[in-house]
Amino acid sequence: MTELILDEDEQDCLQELMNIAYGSATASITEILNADAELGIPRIKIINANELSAYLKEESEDNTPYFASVQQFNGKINGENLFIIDKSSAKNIALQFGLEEDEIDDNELYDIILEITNILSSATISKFSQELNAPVGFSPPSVDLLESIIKLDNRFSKDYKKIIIVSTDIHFEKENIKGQFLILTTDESILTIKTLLNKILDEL
Amino acid sequence: MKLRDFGYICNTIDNGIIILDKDLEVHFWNKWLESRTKISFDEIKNKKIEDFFPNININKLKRKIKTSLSLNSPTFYNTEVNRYLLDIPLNNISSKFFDSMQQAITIMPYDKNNDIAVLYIYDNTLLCESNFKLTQVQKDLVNKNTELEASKEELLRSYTTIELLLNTTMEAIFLFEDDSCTHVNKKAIELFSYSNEEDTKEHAIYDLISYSKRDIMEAIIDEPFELEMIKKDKSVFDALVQIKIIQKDGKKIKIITILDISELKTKERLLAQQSKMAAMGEMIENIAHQWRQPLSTISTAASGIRIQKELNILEDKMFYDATDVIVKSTNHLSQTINDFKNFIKGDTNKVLFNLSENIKTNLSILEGHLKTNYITVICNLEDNIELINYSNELSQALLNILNNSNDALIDNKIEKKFIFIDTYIKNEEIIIEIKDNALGIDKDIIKKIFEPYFTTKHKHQGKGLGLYMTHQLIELSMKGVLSVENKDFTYNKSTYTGACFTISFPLLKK
Repeated sequence: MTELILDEDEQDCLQELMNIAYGSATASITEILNADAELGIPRIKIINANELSAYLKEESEDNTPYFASVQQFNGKINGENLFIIDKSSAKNIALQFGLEEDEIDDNELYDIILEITNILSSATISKFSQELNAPVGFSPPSVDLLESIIKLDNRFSKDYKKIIIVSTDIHFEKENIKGQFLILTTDESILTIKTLLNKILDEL
Repeated sequence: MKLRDFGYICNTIDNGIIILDKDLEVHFWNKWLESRTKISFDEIKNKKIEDFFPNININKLKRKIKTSLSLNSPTFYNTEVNRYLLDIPLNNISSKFFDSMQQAITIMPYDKNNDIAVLYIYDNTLLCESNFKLTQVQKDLVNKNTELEASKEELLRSYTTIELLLNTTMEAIFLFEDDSCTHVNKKAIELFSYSNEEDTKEHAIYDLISYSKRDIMEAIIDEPFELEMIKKDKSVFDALVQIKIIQKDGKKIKIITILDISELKTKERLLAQQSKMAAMGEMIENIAHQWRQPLSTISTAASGIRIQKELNILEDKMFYDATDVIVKSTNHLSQTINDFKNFIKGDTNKVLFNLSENIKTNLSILEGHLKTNYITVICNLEDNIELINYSNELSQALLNILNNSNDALIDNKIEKKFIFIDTYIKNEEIIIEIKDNALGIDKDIIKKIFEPYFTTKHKHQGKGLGLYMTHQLIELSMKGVLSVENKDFTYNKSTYTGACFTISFPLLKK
């Protein structure tokens, strides 16, 4: 079980790689949306899978509808990206995507969330996996509108023992948009990441 | 092996493949699309896709292509959200859920330098149909579940009501299914002093009655009966028990209800005692009446012979006559005492006795009392009737009825007061009929006069308590029948109305 925990050096190295990946993602989003996007410095945390619900609850507001979008990635590293955004922020993103107010309905919002998830996944994981020399492929994302974030309860915990949470806040210029992007990786992948990180650390 | 060219694979794959540039001009259109859209590659080549499919959201498609090229990564059209990119009508007729083919699309960069992307189109119609059907089934299930929940709630409400009813009743209730106790109410736990339902069920019913009386539980069905029951602390109390048996779902369900009547029994005993005390009071009054005459006789005889002795004129004859009178009178007094003793002494055994003698003794006890009230008693007694029963209890019952008539005659201020006592045998039964001419009992209360506490309710002195005890004595103890009715009758050419009490016993078989 101790193997599933990253030591200080490994966590440092991962933080650096993530900084690079998120930097690249920020550039991509700015280019695609034609707007200055700002991705906060990613925070890395390893938690027990059954604590995810409590973590999300702490990070979110109670009784607010949230879109939760997941996208699987497969390769040497397996896992899921989870993008969580409240409904009003999602609306602001849609406006950022060039949609008019009267064009925005739940269906359009779903599509926008899927796209943004896909963009964030590709931008971060592609770069990260490239840095680790472990290419991955993506499945199409799927999305749900939840009455409250606690409805996500235990959806993931049966598949994972430990979860590396790489979370970041996304801000767009002028617009009030706040979303959380989480990368959840499987236990097996945590070991792979550890090995790959150590390989990088050895080369330094 | 030499690999076939790009076109061969693209044209034999079971998906749609389009190569588009960022301005949505078509550079490749495979056979799969030709056959589904009826648009040939030659027709659409170098044309803008929206010219053939005007419903396409151009901005969205351009954005997705741009994103894919920019990220060098796939972008997607999700079937659930977008349904389709190309509007391709479906031609199937049976079980048609959608008008157009449901599609999932993956966009990949094809030539980044020239901003060209490749679109893979997957026909997801079958999957969507299955999803659609599943959603319908799920909706049905939700509806059914809602109905089920409603029924469950209704059932729960009924159950709560029944439980409430069972728990507010005065009776302890035990429910048995095929001889094992399944339910007890709160009263049952409380009555037998057990700590909880499980504890009570465990000791269900047979532990609660004495072993010798268990047969009764099997024998008497539907009729309430009295039984002594045992509490957890082994104390005993009187209970009224009723057993009902019903058949339900092939199971024998036995419902046993138990009412604690110990308080009632105590009151009854107290009542009997009070009644006896009252009767004794009346007896003493009667004795006083009876003693006055012989005492006066004794006093006269004694003073007579004393004076004669002092005057020296006492003759032997006078002395013997006077002492005879004194002895006779004291015998009479002694007899009165015996009658009184017999009366207050409770019967322990049934004895053989003559009915008319019993009645005459009772009348002699009451004689003084009746005379004072100017009541004439007319007896028409058959001499040879014999009974094996509790003679003193019969005396007490008769005295109660006679006292009741006495009170009614006085209360109603009847001028010529009569009490008629008849005994005879009819239809193998011994009949004792006691009637008066006190105008009868109000028809509104005649059915209630044998109920306890009746007197207290109606403040009608002389009815109720005594008559309740009389009823208990005749019916419960002596196993006879006591009834009452108002009667019109003629005596000495005059017509009278009054209450007629009838006591009957089965004829003694010789």
